[in-house]
Amino acid sequence: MSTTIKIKHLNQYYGRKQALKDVSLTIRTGMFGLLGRNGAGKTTLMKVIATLLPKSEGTVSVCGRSTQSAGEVRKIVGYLPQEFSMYPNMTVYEAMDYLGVLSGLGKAERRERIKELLERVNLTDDRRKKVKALSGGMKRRLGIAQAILHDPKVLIVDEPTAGLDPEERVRFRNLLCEIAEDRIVILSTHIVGDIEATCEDIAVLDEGSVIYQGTVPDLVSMTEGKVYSAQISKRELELLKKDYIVTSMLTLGNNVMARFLAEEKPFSSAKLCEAGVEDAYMYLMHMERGIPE
Amino acid sequence: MERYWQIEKVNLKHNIPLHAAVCLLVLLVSPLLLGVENLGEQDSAKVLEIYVALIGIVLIPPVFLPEQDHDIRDLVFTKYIDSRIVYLIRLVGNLLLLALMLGIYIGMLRHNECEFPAGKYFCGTLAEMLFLGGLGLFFYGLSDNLVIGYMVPIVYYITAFGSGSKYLQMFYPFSMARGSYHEKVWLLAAGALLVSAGIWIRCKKR
Amino acid sequence: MFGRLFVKECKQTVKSLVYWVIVLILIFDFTSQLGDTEIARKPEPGQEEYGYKSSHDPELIMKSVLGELTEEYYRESYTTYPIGFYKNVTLNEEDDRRIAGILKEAAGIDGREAAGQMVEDWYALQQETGTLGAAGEEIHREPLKVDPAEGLTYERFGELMDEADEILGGGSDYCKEYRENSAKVAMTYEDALEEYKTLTEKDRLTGGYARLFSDYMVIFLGILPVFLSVTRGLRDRRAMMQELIYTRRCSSFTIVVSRYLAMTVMLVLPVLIISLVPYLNCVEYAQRAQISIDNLAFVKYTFGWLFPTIMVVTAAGMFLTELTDTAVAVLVQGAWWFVTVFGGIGRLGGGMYGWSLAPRHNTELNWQGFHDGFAQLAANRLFYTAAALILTGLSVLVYSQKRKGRLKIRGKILANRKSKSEA
Repeated sequence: MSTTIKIKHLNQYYGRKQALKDVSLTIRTGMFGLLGRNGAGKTTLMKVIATLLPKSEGTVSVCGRSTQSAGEVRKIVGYLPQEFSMYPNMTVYEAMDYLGVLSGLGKAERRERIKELLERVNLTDDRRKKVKALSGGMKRRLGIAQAILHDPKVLIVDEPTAGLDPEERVRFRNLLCEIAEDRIVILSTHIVGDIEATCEDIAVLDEGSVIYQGTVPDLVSMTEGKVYSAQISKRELELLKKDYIVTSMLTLGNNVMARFLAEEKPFSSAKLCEAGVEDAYMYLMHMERGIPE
Repeated sequence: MERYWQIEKVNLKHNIPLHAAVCLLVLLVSPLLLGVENLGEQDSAKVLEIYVALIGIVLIPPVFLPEQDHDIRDLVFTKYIDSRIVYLIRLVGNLLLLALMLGIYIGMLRHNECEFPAGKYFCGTLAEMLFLGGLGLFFYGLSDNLVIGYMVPIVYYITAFGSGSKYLQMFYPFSMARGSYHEKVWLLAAGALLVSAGIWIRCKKR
Repeated sequence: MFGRLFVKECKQTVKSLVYWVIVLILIFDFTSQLGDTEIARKPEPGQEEYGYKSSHDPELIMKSVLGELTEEYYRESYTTYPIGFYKNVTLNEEDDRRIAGILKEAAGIDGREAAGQMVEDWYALQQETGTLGAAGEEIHREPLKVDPAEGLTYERFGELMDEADEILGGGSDYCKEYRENSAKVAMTYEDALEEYKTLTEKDRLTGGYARLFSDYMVIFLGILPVFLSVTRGLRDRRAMMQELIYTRRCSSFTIVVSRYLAMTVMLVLPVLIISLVPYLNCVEYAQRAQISIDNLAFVKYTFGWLFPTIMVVTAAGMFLTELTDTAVAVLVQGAWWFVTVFGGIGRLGGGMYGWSLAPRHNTELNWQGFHDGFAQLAANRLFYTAAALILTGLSVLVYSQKRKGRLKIRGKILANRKSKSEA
């Protein structure tokens, strides 16, 4: 059986608005990152794959199963929406058990899986807590546990790190990487750091179109030799912003340490830097929209 | 003042049209269901107390509905206008709307040559509406569940019908048809208490 | 999967506040209405009165119905109860002439003057015999009776009265149901004994009381289930759990039907438990009076009479909630209940079940009426059971479509409300 997700010429409309434009993607085992700003169409794409939205045009097949036959796809897909919760009066264990029944797991299987998964997401001690008493991070972890409860071949997580503190975020990424060892994990985010640390393959969406698909190193190499940094005054910064894409800055007293993109060395005090994913992402977004003049 | 009017305008435009439409429908179909012509005092009281007063249940509990979503509630409660005032304005607005509909309805009855003391019945029916609606608002606030907010006054109404004045005493809602009016004063007082308590609880609970 | 889900749903129901409120209301309903009911005693000879019963004598029916028509025609004012509310009807000239024609054919009374004469004579007679007080207040009124025209058959009489009822807009004293119960005659000791025998022998006591029990419970069961099903229907959305459930492999059929079954079972359970009280009363009485009872009567009536109502109210609430994601089902059910209960006020005595959502039979007696109306009652209950199943099927359909992202009605209706209702 096929172990890839194949999306061909997918178009998606909300009334007159087109949310996805001719999207074609092939997604293989491992972590796959979907990057793009808010409203780029990431959630729409994920919902189509998870059979929560009917596709308007094109074909989407998940491990050889068309999303038309939703029941077949649901058996092998786990989904964690951006915003979710569970019945507030159920305990962590009860909620997992309920969802386990809905996934068609037998009694012994449920007991074993839930124990194992709560261990894995570090919620074993909280299994008797009511869902309404969980913190944001705990709820996220419970969310991941419920999504892989039925051991799906494909795991789809929508903006999972939003609202987590830095420590939680790192733990969460590592958890996803472990899970991705033997299955497809699709992760959407607008935080570049999440992708940098975890994904091999990525796609960048902008206004419903795929503007990049490939590996992270390939993306970074696009800006190789184009990233500079310079210490300049605050007034100079305004001028710099007009001519170049500033990807980050750090205020140092009256001066600013700016990092920016340029095709060639712009002035003598600028130093060439090693390119990062963030730089490449900014470059890509501005290429699509046109570099500021 | 302008700000308060703005709050009410949003209420009128976005929050209650559906509920107001239900009330209108209830009143408009009434001639098909019951007699609205040439009624005496007792039968007019029946129409008003047993039928027309029901729109109070429809229109008062939804005062809390726009903030049903907890995220929206958090947002609204951090605004600098006290949310109790927002609820109060909505409540007064809905009550005025009820009074308007009731007034027109009573005018229609009088036009159809029903004979009854219009002012007295108007106040009595409005007091009953406030009580039934207040009952809903109070339990909605308490349980944070609109369904319970509808359930309690509806069950109260049915109980009043089944067991009558035996259990409800001075809170018996259909007293005018029996020629007794002092129950309405009790209903008015209890209604005012219930809506105040309802709003207080709602804002307290966050 | 179905069985486990069913059990989980039942547990959820037990934990919900609305459910316990419903149970309390049912208990209250029972104790306030039936709590102190005494089991009927065997009538003793020599009692002052034994109550009244409807006569089925066509002659008597025609006389009293025509008396009513004569009086109302003379006063130019008719009383009807289209949905149980008093409605006064005055007719325009053409309809007035049609009623005059009917009265002439049925009773040979020609015109308002002749009718007036009959009414005045009757009134004078009433005063003479002392049944009317000096000021005209009623003491014990003997209704006006008018002889039918010579050669008027009972069939033709029926046709004419149906026409009169139609002219008056329905719910008048001349419609079939009312007119056949219009002639009341006082019961004798023998009649009362006969009734008692029917109750204890044909109904074996519990049958009659199970019907009375059903009569009281069905009123509340005509609306309470909707609160449970609306709450359940909205719970997933409120808990923001919809998408987690939607993406499970479990079929929409299993999800919706297990919920439905759990709700109806959990609703019928307290009814069965409450019915133990009147059942035990009957057992106690039967032991003393040495009669044999039907031990399963309350169970039969609960499932035959009450369960279809529970089913259809639950299903309608579930369907509307699934379709709209709002509590609108409460208002719809409220309206349905209102029309049903007030429309049934004239049919309390049993035997006239029609297509009512809540068929009434407000007496432990009238086995004959039950027997005669049984076919109608069975058709009625089957109809609502079928309607409940269809509504459940439609709920499955709506649920499966929503799961795939179609049919987002709430989004469409309330799309502009969500964002702007912040003030």
